[in-house]
Amino acid sequence: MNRATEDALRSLLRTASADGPEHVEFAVSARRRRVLVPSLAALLTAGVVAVVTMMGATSSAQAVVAEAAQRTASESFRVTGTSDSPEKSMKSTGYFDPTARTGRTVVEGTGRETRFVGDHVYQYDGVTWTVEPRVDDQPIHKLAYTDPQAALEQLREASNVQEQGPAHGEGWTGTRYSFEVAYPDSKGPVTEMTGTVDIDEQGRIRHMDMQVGDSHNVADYFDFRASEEVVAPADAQPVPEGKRH
Amino acid sequence: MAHDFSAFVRHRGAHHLRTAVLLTGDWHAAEDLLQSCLVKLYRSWPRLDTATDPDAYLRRILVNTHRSWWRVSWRRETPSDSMPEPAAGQDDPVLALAVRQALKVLPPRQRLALVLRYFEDLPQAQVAELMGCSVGSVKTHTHRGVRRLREVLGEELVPEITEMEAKR
Repeated sequence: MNRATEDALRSLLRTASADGPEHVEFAVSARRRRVLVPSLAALLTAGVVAVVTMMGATSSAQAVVAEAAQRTASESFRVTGTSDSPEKSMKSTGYFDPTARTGRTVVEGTGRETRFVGDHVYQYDGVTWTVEPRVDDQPIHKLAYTDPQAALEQLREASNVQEQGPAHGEGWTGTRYSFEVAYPDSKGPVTEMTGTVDIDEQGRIRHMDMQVGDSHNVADYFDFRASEEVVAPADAQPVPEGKRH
Repeated sequence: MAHDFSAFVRHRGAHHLRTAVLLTGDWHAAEDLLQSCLVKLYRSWPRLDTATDPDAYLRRILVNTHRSWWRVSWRRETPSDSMPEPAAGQDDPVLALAVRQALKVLPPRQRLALVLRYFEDLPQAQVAELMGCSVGSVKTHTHRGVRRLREVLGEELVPEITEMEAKR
């Protein structure tokens, strides 16, 4: 075999194994939690389950987050979202049912409401309802506030996912992961958004925290399998194509 | 002993995990494989003398354990004619995934020969000893493996070799 082929093979095999963890630790646990070994001799006598801990295991952590996003997006839930920046602060509450393809968010104190029904999004500005096609290509931190269902879809594409440690909230405990999401930005080709996501022990997204510049955005997911009827407003006016979001 | 073992895993574990992912094709299976092998290594650790290279010992456990796992699981696997899409770029996660998928298309012996020869950089005689076959068989597995990889990934990523060179 010639040198060029051998070099190409070495390069390909290095590349094929380069997107994994940077470090490996040896650990034991009876419940497959990641705990350092107090006494490795116990392995021999007690038959304790051994666990290899992958430090910085990006691909595994990424898979956990992607799976959690998919699982959360497959059942109904309620959500609260907040967006804080020097210019404004907003808080919304919402409900989404992925199976029925319906959802609703209400911005507190403004009278503004958004309803998602099938492929359409209906918006109420306090006076009139408008309707336009539903889009989900906004940045994830905005979606976490305007369309948490779509935010979960984008979270599945997160990169550089790292386990950060334990997390907890009201009635749940879980694990926190940091992540990055790249998205097209009108100010440049791509913007990187960083954030954390908390996943409970049932593998569902519970909390997302995202920072972009001076904008801080948070979404909390709860009340899974809730049931609520969301219908399209009868008098919604179509938004002209040039004025759509 | 425990300290030495932990230090070895910390120092060399990631490398062996990479070998495992090339053999298994995905990180979850690689973690399981390495975990199983490290338990076996730990049990043997007190018996290893200073002349024993723990890297070589763990590599042998990896090869043997993967072989036994494959023998147990091959009946559950569904062979597929579908090929992964060749990747366009170099040194990226898409290419990494494409190469791992391409490796999974190979018969296990061809895959093992390529990984030991070109990832572990072992001489052919040592690959033959690990695989329990002759050097000639290693050459055959390697040659066929490269040819199959080229079919899947394309000549741009796996340059052509001549028949003359293949017979060396």
